[in-house]
Amino acid sequence: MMLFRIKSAWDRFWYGEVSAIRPYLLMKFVLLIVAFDCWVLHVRRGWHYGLDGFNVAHFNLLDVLQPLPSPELYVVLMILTGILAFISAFTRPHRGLLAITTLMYTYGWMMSRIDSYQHHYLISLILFAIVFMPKLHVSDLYPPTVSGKCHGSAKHARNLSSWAYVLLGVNMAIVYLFTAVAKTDNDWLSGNVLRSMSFIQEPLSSVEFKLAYLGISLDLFWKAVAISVMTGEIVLSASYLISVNRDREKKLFYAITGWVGLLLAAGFHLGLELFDFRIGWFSLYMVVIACVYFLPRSLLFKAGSVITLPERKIRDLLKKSADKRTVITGSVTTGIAILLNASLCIYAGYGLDLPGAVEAGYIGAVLLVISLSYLLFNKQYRNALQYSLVITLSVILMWGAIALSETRFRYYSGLGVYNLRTNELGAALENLEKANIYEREENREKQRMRERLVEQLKRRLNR
Amino acid sequence: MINDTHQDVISSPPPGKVRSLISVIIALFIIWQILLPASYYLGADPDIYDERFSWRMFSSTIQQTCIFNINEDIKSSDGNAVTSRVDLRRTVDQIWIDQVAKNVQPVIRKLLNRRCKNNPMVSEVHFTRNCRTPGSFNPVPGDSISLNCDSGEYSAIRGVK
Repeated sequence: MMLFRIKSAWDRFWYGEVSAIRPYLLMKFVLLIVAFDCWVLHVRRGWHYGLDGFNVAHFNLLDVLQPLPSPELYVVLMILTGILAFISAFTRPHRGLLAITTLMYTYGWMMSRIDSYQHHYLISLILFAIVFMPKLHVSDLYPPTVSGKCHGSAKHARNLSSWAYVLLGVNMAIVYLFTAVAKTDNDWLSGNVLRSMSFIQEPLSSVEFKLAYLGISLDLFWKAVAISVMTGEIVLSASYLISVNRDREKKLFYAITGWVGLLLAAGFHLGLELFDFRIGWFSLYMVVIACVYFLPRSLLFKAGSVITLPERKIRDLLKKSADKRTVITGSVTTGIAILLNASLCIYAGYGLDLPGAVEAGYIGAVLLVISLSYLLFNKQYRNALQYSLVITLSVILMWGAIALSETRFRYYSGLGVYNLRTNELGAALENLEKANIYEREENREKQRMRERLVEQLKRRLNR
Repeated sequence: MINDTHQDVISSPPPGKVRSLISVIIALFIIWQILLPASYYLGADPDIYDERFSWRMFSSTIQQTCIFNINEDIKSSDGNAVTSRVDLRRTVDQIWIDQVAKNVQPVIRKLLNRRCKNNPMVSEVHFTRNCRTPGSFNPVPGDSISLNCDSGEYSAIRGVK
């Protein structure tokens, strides 16, 4: 009897109803952020890999098995991971593709301790959960009606079972619990750690001055701040644990927990951004996940209907054209799409001017030809066209993200400075000249310094 | 519930063998996710500087300010050893130097090993590190690792003053 009750409670917790909008938006947003994260923030770090033939992986076994990581390997990996993540965000998720994306992303940080960001490990866990989430498409939540308009309210809310969604919520609770546990030592509780962080202490120095003027002990102030951070993390952990079940019944308790959780998550992570302390796009990931778990589903449905509008328009357009398509026109269209996309991949690779980009272009083109040809030969013209459109968009956005951001500037300027330190003057000149080409710096002084440095190197090398 | 054609047995298993198997996987996963970060705090001699996978953000350990030295004993022609300081900035990326300062053991050991391999005249390589915790003028006990190039043996001392 006891065992039966435990099993029933277990099943209710893990396999109970979840509003479909939550795992759907979670997958979409996380995969989209991962895509741009890989292109904008990861690729720029590629120059660090394999320098001087030195590398230490996160695990000894990898050090034994893998070849020395190189910038080319890393850039290929990150460009293709981003493209796969983008494709998964805008097509009906394919579990195999999601698993490959997760493995590629995870290998990206596991291959070297150059990448020791804890949040990359967290993103791997999130992607792992996403692999097992329901394979939802925009049509499942916002089906086209006869009139062409879609319903996007809670009246048409769809519930399903998703243990992976619940698992991720529990995982987030564990993460925040242990971040609180890490703050139980005297150094933190005394406020010394917070005080020692200049990015926190300096903006609060005016508050310190006012408190001192009022006769309030600064030690007490910093202790209070430290303890409140720890308490907030414990409450946030509990909020995640409670909110995984919120769609099963309408209770004020769930709503209050949700808003408290969202305020805390936004407060912590947006607060770090306000204090100008950035750890990649960690805050963005955390706030997006908090919104999915803590916001009421009616709000999420409304937000989702706005966000998915372009996608639904394209879906409706494709459906109309598919109805008119014959086998001949379908295969011709698909064939042209394959050729154009493959050419685009290769062209984008050459256009990026980064080690590994050309290789990524060719690999992408080959994979694209294989996968779309498979759909072509199976007469899945509508799917082929949909994938083709998404791939085109992903390649264009990838190229834009890298070309229009500081990615190439950071890559070449970082490598150039390293070359200077190790007295590789020829390589330093080459890389710093490239950095100047891709300059996005608005600081004229720094720009002029770099240009003077390049001139000095040219004179020294008689060029 | 949502249209069943898009629900699948993996993501939404009905009661049965698949659900039981997934339940076991869930339980094991949760245990792993708790034990892995907990292992930082448990164990007889945990490496307090390896904060990976333990969700220690802004910890007092990572806020420590540390300085380190790497010295190598080079055999001279008269049989004596001359100690010389290694300038890592000329040989490895700053990222690895930061990891050495944070006492990341695998990185330190590999670097010491490299010094031995790059120059056969090096008989021994020594690493020492000293840190202060935030807001304190008192140093925490330092660390020291030495590598004997001939035997390939490491000797590590914690709590060096």
